[in-house]
Amino acid sequence: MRYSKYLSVAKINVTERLHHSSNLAGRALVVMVRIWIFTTLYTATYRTIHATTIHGIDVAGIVWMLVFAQSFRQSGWPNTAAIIETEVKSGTLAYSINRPYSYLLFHFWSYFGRVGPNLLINIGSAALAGIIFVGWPSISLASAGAGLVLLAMSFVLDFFCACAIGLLAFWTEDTSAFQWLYFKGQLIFGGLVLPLALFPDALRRVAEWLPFPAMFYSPARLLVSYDGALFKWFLLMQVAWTSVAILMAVFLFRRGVRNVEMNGG
Amino acid sequence: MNARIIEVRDLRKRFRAKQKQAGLRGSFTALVRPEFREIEAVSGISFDVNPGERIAFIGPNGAGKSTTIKMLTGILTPTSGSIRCAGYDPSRERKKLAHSIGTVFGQKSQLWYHLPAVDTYELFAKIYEIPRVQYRERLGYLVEAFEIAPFLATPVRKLSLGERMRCEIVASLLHRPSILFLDEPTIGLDVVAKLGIREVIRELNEREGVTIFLTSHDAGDIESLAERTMVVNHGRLMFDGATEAFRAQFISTKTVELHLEEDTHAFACRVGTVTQKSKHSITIELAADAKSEAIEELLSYTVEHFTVRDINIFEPPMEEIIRRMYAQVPKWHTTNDRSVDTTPEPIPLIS
Amino acid sequence: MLPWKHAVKRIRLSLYFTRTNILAAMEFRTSFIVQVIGMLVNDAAVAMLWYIFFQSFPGVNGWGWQDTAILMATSTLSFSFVFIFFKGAGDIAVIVRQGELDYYLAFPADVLWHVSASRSRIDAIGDALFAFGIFFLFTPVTFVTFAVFLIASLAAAGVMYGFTVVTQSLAFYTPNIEDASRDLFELLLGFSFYPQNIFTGGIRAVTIFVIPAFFTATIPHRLIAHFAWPALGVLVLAAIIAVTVAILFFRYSLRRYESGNLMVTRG
Repeated sequence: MRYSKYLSVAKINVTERLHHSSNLAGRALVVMVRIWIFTTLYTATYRTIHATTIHGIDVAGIVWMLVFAQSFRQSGWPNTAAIIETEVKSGTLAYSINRPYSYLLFHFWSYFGRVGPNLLINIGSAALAGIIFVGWPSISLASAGAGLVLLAMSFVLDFFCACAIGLLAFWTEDTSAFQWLYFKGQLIFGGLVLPLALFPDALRRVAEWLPFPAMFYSPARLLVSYDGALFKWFLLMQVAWTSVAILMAVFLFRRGVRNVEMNGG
Repeated sequence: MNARIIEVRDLRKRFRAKQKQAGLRGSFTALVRPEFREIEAVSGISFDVNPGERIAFIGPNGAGKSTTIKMLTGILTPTSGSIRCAGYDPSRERKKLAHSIGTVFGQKSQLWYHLPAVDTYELFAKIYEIPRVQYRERLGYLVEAFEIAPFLATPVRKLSLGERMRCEIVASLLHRPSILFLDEPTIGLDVVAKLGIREVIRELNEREGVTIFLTSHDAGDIESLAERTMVVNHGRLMFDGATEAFRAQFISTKTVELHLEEDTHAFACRVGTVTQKSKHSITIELAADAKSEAIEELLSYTVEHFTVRDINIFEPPMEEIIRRMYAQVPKWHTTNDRSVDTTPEPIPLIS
Repeated sequence: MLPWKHAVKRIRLSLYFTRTNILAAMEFRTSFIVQVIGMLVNDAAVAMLWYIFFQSFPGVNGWGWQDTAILMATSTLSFSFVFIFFKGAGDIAVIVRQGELDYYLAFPADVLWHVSASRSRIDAIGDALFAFGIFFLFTPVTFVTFAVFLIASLAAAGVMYGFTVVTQSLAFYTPNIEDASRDLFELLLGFSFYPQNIFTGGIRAVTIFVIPAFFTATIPHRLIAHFAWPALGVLVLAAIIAVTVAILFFRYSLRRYESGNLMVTRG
């Protein structure tokens, strides 16, 4: 039962999150209002150009994409990069190396422990807003399947990217600048406010090579309507970027730990 | 005729504390139908202080000590009773009062952590509206008296605790307060730093006539600084008188610890009570009111019959003294109040 | 003391506090620069997002990129006014819960003012830089629009300050309000970055009566785009009301303050 310890790690994080339920309720309200604003914004936008669909997606589709993308994005909270940064700086990391588990795997499962309940609550409140403002989404079996696959992978990708950023704390005093850049990348290219589907064509083709759309935008996009070619493309991007992120994280971790051992922290 | 600087009459403070049962259900019930419980932190304290007195205000944690000080300084409003502090009613004239008092909290810094102390002083001079010339003169005097010149320009975070505490006290004296409230001023300091702080406080009191109102858990602070001691417990004043009298009445024992070269089983001095005995060391408790004769007798007996490796003489720590004092007078405060029974109410934790 | 003299003294002291805070922050130069530049980049990213949006769509009911530039300039400037000079207002809930208000009560100064002025948000300097940057780069600047930009942002800052103080002061009544008041503030910022003409009916009512984005975003934008005296009057009035309500509410709530000691058992 080597892996049951990681299950326990995930479980304790679930309980911990549930204890902050009033906190989560507040967040949920914020999400509801935000969806309300988006509905209004895109309804007005579509009306201005006298369109009912753009690239085959109507206002409801756009709103649902945002519902999904934002809920997924929010669910990784609290921020993994910041957690790891704190542990690197406080020396907790060096200490936990002596424990009988893998540091990266420990955090990986902590992350998923947080994601579970957060996802339920975030999706719950945001989807409620979606249903109220634009009606039920039309999710086909294919789009659901594709969406779930991409979703799982996008969490893995996000985790390892955040991990790598947090580990930079071995070398820089403060990683918040990198965290900012990462979040802003997600904000602009991650479909959190403006889905990539609505980007000007040239810009979209460039942006699709970035890791950010491969995160939470990709499952959101596929859940709303299935597109085989797009699914394959996103999956390819996810696998590629996740490999890069894992390699980076492991490399930075090993290097960092070795630095500490040699220089005594 | 009224020369008193602090007058407190029948001071009371009650808090309403929310009660919560454990667990999720308890949280929910507390949200819908909160239950409150009244806690009387201070229940009827009266005393007077003359200008220039040095007072130790002591008691165990949760005794009502901090609450009383907070009412004296205008931070909390009393539930009932009256206070005159430096001629003001603290709860109504907080700002005026603030010009006349200084406060130092050992565990909370008022200095800007990342800046040199002198920058905080500049800021305080502005908040307290001290004219430029006066401020310069005052700062010059305090810097010299507290010997802080060498590190005045060093960021506070780089100072030692003792240096920082001296800077803290200077900060609270810039506006020439007539009363200085010190809450645990020597907490965490080493012996030398403690002595330094005590000396400086005493000198300040003697030179400027500043009234000193001190709380401390350190018996040394009390004995070397305060000429008068007040003890609070369970929100009541249990003792108010000369520190000497306090000693005589309640510091009833001294503990002598002897480490001997020889085996202790032959030890047969009849002075005091043996509380602990091991192969080479022995602990004896002496009654403190027996003056010095008992100690003399004990020591001369020991020196005569044994080779002494080491001797320690202890006085009981403050908490212990208060505990004993409480045990000596179990019905002390039950005479006129129904709400207080002999078992102390625990202070509930509010999360 | 004459009231205006009193006000001048207050303002000078507030500036002195801010100066002290900035000096303290500069002790760590890298961190200081990272914070300021970071916020600048952050705001620029949001601006870029809207720039892309308006590349895809010509406008929303006649609202274009330039309107968003004006909106972002004034929103970030009013935000930086509040948080460079009066950041403490946003910390009232934490300060009350931790019993740290004791410190401020020991001074012969107005507590709300002292709490507010004694802290500064360093990254808000980045917001201010961004505000002026986007204003000069993307809006047709004239002497008049610049003056209106400053005045409107200042008034909007008054409303934002009042809103912050009131929501934070709820901590006097219930201890776990920090997250809720932060969420409310985030909503205010949220409303401040979208084309304001989409907020009609129910949402408009919310932005007037609940989350005052109508005063911190809608009116300032309108004033800079098409100046009108009545709108300025409404904005200034709103600012005065907000600040007054904040002062009175804080003062009233302060009576409930019960310090920290009884709640925390320290060793």
